[in-house]
Amino acid sequence: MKRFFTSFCVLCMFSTVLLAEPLRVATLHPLLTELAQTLGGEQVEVLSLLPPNANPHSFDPKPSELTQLQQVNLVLAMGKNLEPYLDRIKANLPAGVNIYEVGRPVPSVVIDPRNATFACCPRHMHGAVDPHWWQSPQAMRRATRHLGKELEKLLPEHKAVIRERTRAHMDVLAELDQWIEGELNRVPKRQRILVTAHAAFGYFCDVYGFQALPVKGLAGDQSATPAELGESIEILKENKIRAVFPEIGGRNHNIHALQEATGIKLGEPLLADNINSEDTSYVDMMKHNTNSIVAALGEKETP
Amino acid sequence: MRGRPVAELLVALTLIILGIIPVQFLTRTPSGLADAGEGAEDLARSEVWIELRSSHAPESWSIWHEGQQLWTGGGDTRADADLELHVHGGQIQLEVSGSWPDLEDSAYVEIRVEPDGLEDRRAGAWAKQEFRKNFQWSWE
Ligand SMILES: [Zn+2]
Repeated sequence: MKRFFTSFCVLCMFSTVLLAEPLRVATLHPLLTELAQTLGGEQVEVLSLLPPNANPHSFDPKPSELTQLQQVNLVLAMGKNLEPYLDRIKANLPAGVNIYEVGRPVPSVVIDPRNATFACCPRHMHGAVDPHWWQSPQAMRRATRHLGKELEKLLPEHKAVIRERTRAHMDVLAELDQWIEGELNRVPKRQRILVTAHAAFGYFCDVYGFQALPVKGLAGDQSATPAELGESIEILKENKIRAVFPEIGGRNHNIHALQEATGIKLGEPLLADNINSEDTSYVDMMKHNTNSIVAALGEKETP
Repeated sequence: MRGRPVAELLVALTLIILGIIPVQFLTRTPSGLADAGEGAEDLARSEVWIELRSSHAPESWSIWHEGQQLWTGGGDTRADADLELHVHGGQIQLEVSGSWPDLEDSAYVEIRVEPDGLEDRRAGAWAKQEFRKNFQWSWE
């Protein structure tokens, strides 16, 4: 009986230690690192695989990074086919550890086939799903709610605090959404056309009533041919486009050429695929993009 | 040939049954697929997240769906719930009721629905002390 009690006490102590251990989460995007830390607080320990400024479409995890995955309890991916290397991640995970695709609950926006020349890479061309779901705070809010539920399941003893943090972050995102909507009111309907270097703003355009304009020769590693540039200039003129938007850390070769050829305003570069520094939060990113769009396409504020 | 009518009948019946089973098997609709549906049109029952927000905390509020009270709460400016709803022909109908007995002014009520796999929709209305309103959303 005594031995039974000793074993029982050891078991209890062991489970207490286990419960106190944070959940080890690996993330495949800095925005997911922020989200996991915001919702998980001290109950999670985050291993961030993709650094700010890195291209999530062409990220190639090093063997040393894949080895680190042996220590994690959960992997967070953006999903919607953004990470072409998920199979390699999966193959390196310990048994029972899952990849949770944070963007999965978000209804997909399909890239308009006419906008295929905007696509970031061949996988996202011709009617494929736009993977950049985080460009809509409403989508981010839905994803946050679902991730909160997932973390509640994995950390049942911290359910209440995770729910509280999830709801608080959802409020932040609702406020952000309202702020963006308010700011974009300064952009007249006829100017709600977003010309960017790659088709990363489908969700943003969908939510805020913008149109992504198909213009040949803006995206991709290749320079546009003179004929393609000529056609693009015509389209921009026809649509009375006021500004085009390069991307921070993106491939902007053609957009600069186009701007030089047309004299159209170049908007402040947008953040599309990634944040540009560790200090940039999701809210900062969305506010930066909104300010850039409003500054280039908005009407001047009447005093 | 006419000597054993019972045996012939049994053979014929066996052949018919043996023939019917594979045909039935090939032509039936798999039950799981029938429920899942391909688009909003076929969606029968769906998990829907509902969020209620109000500028003033109501004493109580509730959500009704197809004549049934599915959820009730109160005392807060915000509440949410996961509910199982019927989505008929890509449409959701809900009735929201609330009461603010001490309210002198008006309260603004916003309801947001997020069905699994479908885009979210929201609607708002002004309320005065007692409120009961039907909301309907549709998806293409
Ligand atoms: Zn991209």
